[in-house]
Amino acid sequence: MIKYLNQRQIKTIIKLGDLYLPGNQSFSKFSERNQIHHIDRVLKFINKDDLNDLGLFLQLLSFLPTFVLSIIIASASKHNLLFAPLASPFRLLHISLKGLACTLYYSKMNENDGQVLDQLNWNPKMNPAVKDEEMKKLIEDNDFNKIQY
Amino acid sequence: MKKHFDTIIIGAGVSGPIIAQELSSQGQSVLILEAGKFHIAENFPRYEIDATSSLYWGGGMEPNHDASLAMIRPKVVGGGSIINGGLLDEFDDLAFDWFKQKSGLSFFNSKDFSPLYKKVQDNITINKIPSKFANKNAHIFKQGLKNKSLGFSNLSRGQTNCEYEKGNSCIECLSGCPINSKQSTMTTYLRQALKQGVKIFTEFNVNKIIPGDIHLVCGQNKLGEKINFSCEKLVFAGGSIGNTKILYRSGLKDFLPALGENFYSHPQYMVLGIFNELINSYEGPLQTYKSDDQFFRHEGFKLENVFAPPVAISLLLPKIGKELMDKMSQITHMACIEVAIRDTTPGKISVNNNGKIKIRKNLNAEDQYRKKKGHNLIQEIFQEAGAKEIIQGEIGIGLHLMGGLGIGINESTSVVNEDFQIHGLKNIFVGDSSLFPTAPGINPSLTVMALAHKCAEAVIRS
Ligand SMILES: Cc1cc2nc3c(=O)[nH]c(=O)nc-3n(C[C@H](O)[C@H](O)[C@H](O)COP(=O)(O)OP(=O)(O)OC[C@H]3O[C@@H](n4cnc5c(N)ncnc54)[C@H](O)[C@@H]3O)c2cc1C
Repeated sequence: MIKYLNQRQIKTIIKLGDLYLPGNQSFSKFSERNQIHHIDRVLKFINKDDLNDLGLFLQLLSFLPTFVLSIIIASASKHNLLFAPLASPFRLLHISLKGLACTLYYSKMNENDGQVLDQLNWNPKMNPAVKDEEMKKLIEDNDFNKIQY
Repeated sequence: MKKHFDTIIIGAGVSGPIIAQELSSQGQSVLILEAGKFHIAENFPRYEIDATSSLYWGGGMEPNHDASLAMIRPKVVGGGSIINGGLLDEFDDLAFDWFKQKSGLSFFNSKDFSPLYKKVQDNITINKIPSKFANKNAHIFKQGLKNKSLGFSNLSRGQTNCEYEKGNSCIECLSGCPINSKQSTMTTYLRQALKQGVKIFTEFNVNKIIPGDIHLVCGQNKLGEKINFSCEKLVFAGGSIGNTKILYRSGLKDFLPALGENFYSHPQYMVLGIFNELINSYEGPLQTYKSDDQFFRHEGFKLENVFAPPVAISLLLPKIGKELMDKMSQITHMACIEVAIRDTTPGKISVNNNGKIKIRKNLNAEDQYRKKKGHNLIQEIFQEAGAKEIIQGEIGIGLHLMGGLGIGINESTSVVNEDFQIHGLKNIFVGDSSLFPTAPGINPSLTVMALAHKCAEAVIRS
């Protein structure tokens, strides 16, 4: 259950996702990656005003046919060629929408979700995390956020 | 819950914990208020989706006025020291001279800062990154500089032992070091400060202050409950944007004409080279060498040899659709060098009626020229190394956020005086990167730490 967007807005994100990431010989398209249910992990941290603007914008886009959406995102991706007053909103639009699509596609989501990174051969290693019992205790004793008050 | 303290510090980033540790060692009662979460080694976010959105303000980045620069501002206990590269460089004489000139303060010189840098080294471990673990990305960079007869040297980083021989990749530590090797102020200074009795309130957002004989600090916890604290002395360590925002919302802009002015960010522009052979830029130390040549100091830019995780790389690529996916499938064949400009055009931070920050930041002709020169040099390095394609990143990034509350003697052009107190406001201090009067063109955090020690001395003296 997605908290921050309605069904209509979610459908639009999926449509846009498939335009940004339509798949190629080796990689599936955005919708087939099927990670949209993780979108709250991103939206939870966006400023309230920006989240409202995003929701409103998606709602507007939801009424447009796919070919119009593809023209919009293609124009937005050419932001550097646009005149200054147009360039800024298009650039912002481009960064935000592409950012959402790429985050949901190229990030690993949990322990069992290695598929895309494996396919990319992206394989950084790190020792298991150390246990810092001393710090845990210090937090328990000194962080008002953790202390019942 | 105790509500009154000798000193309250806003921000537990690079500088806040240093000041807290120093003050508490003198017996002061200290509270740190920090908007970010307290993560420790075992619970840093491990996936890019969570790291990008939860460890930074604005859910990842805050754009400037025309979205040509993405400001990356940490929001986590330990601040920049949790998510940054950990590279620690002392200022050279040039940087000190620029600081002295701009601020009118004579203590900006290497002699006065030498004991401050020493203090930092007494508290954290700094090591040179050994050449033997350098990855292919680093080799391409080093060879490129050599071919151009430009100097380079091994980077100094705040780290104990990253165990590269076991195959560890420091790119993983961009969302917090899980093995406590990276010397964040969380695992070093703050640990000591908490042992000395410092209290901290995490996930607590400071909204405004009310200055007086006793200062009031007003904010809210993660549940949205409004809570006020009071103190005799107040220290700002919330960074350029954080501090400016609070002072604006406290109605102090008219009182402090230079508030939010003179904001610098060393704008950085990444360039990717795609090679036929495997590069695996994620391996080992993220960075091993730095460009180290007077040429760069005179030209006003430097080159940095970096890389980023997949989502970030996909956002830098100026592509969409199948083309973007085709390029992404070559990520392990990519090397990356960026140009970081010592920006000469100061930006301006302000806050609109809704309390939202606005960052005005342009590159003037000189800055554009520096960027272009850097790009050309990177282009040549990649070409000589045999790159089959070279791609310039789509937008610039601002990581070194500096100024906004510049230090200086002139009240109309600076915000903080030589005793680290805000002009005209008694016992309200500033001890972080927002003090910078100009851009040094050098990694800032070691000097931010040195300034935090100096600010603590001033608080104690007062
Ligand atoms: C990705 C990245 C890589 C970098 N790499 C390097 C490097 O290798 N070497 C180097 O020297 N520098 C590097 N830097 C820059 C360096 O991290 C900063 O210069 C440094 O963090 C500044 O320290 P500070 O104490 O001024 O602010 P910060 O470390 O940003 O700390 C400020 C803290 O205040 C908190 N805060 C702000 N507003 C409020 C509020 N209203 N209420 C409560 N809390 C608040 C924030 O959440 C934050 O934790 C890098 C930065 C980034 C983002």
